[in-house]
Amino acid sequence: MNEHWLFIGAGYGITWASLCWYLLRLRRRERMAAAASGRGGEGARAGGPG
Amino acid sequence: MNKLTMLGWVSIALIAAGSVLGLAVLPADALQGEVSRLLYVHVPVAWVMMLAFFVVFLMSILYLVQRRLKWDLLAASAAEVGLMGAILTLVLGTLWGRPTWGIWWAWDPRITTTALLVPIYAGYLVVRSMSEDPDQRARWAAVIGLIAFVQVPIVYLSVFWWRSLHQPPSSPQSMWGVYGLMLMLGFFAYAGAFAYLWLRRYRLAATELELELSGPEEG
Repeated sequence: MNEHWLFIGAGYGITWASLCWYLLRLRRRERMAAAASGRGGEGARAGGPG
Repeated sequence: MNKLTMLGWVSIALIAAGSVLGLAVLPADALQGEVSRLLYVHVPVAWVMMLAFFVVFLMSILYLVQRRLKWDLLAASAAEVGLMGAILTLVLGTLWGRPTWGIWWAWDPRITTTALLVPIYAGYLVVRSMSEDPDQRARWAAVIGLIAFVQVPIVYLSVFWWRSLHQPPSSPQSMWGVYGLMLMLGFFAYAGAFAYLWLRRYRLAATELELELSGPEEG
């Protein structure tokens, strides 16, 4: 297997992982904010993908 | 399903389609070989990073003109997503540079000026955390958001001003048919993802500001 595929795989993998990480972080903060404002997770439910 | 949710799913579908096309369907480049497939991620992410910083610039102007906190929150949200884009651009660039140039890093003008965006916009976010007064915070941030944007055209023009290791910009004009289209697909996919994350981050920032203004709970 061409060793370039390691770099290609890492590039695409890191891109997907970064997007997922940011989305999950956003979702966690939305839940915390919703809980603090007494809306009990409304923000998280309206979130969409992730 | 609301419009924002739909935008999120469409962006994910486009990024997934771009990944499949870039990894498995399009032929490898005649000169660079398989590693050129990183172009379909690196270049669109870099464009979207610049777009995000342009949004920070625009929202900062709007805040300074109208003094509405909405523009400040939109600027800060774009800066956060743009910062992630800048880091991702550098990481993808280094993963492409290692097999192509034989090195992980070079003090090349394009790479160095892009790297400078990270402390600049991280600084923008740090400054925001230094004031508890939302109006003062917004004012400071808007001024920095304006000044910081000077770096973005420098990044773009660096490959023309100081011809060095990094190649001139790739664009649909500089690339043959299907490769150019693939670049455009990547741009729309990541621009959609940016818009989705930006607006969702803005909604969160608005809730957090509401909580901040309402003060700590009694008892």
